Amino acid sequence: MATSTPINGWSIPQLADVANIETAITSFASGVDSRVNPIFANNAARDSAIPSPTAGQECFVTTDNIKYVYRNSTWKMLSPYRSVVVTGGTVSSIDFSSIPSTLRSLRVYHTLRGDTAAVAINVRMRINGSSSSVYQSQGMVGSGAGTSAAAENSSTSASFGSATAANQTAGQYAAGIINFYGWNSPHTHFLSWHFLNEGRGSGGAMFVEVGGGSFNATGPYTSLTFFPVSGGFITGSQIVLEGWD
Amino acid sequence: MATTTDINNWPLPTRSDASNMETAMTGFANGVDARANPIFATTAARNAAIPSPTPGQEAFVTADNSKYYYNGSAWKLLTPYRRESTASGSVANFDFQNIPTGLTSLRINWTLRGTTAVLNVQNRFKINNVADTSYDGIYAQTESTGIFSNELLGEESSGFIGHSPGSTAVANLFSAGYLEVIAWNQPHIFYTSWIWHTQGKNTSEMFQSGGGRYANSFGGWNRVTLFPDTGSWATGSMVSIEGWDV
Repeated sequence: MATSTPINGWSIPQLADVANIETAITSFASGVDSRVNPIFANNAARDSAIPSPTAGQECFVTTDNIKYVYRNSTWKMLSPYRSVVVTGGTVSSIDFSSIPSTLRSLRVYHTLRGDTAAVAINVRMRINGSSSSVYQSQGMVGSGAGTSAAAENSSTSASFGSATAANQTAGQYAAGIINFYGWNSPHTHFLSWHFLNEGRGSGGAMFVEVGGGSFNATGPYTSLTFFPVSGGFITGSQIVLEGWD
Repeated sequence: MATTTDINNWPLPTRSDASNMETAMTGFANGVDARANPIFATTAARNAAIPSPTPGQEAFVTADNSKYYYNGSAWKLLTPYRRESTASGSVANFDFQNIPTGLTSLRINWTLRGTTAVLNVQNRFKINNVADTSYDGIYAQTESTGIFSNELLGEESSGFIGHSPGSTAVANLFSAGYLEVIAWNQPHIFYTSWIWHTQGKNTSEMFQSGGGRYANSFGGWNRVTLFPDTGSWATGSMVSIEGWDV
């Protein structure tokens, strides 16, 4: 009879073994123990239970709802950080706090509509709640058959395009993405990003906005606040964050 | 000797226990059972087998080829929903069906080349195979040192998402690009929107960024079809789709 399991090589008790259930089962149990999905409340509990992890070992941490794998001598995310807000009423801003400062990349998906009496409304963001004059942005706009460019320097928040607003066709929301690179502060100062956004403006003309920006302040970066330049975001607006360490 | 395992704290039988294999092994076996990777045919079978999951518990469902974890209130995707297709001969389209309706965004990546004898074909797509004239679009394009914007408003029966080389373009040249349908889960019913980037070549190198929307109130998105405005996709064209749930 086989003395070990075929995949993991865990030892199997043998009929000829001394009748001692402790020694018979311990090796097998320890093997299984280190190859399943243990669940821990936080990283400290994980590190206490697994002081010497091996490459490929896995676990789940409920505090941040993330699965980890041990590789390259550290615990790395096996599933992304994700956070979703769908507005159930009008809100002045959509806020995300406690974003892991270890994320190397962070992507924002948004579909937004404001309640201000305009066809479109500029939408803006702040990092770490900062309203200091440390935001820069540059964008290119295609609208109808026309193109234009715009820049902002030393602003107290950053533009990431425009959302549709109350005077636009009912049900029309703008949509776009923002990509941050270096959310984990690999260099001090200047967290940078780029964005792409589409929506509908004056006379029903569609627009597409391509741009980027930077935040001239040191990390760690842990929060994002999104808001229209006036008024709020209406029901059915949605922002999703997704990031990897 | 230890009475529990080091990591999961599962109870281990001890030599002083009564000689009863059932009671000796049940605690350990149940512990393993709840921390392994159970495989179920459907989500219904999963829910029947695990009526009271704990946060962090995992399961694989073969019906949708997806791994899930329980976040304390619902089963969520642990790995992204993904599908891929590569043309081993010319194909009329890339058609992805039964996509989960709950994905917050759906990303479609491509590298494409058309079979028609033109310099460029148009990349086109439909959602749920709907072909009414409700697809709008806008894009900005740079080619050589020129830049322009073009709006495709209200007359389109499919979504425009850039160009790919046709058969008269430089041999072996394929486009590369992606499309993000931002709110596939439809947090608002009317108007589903997307943005896209693509790179290709006309008479010079060409880069395009655009967006669009489907301006009608159908719902329950579960299908995407990519096709050229004329002809087929050439061998070696490839499309993959990827998304996460709420």
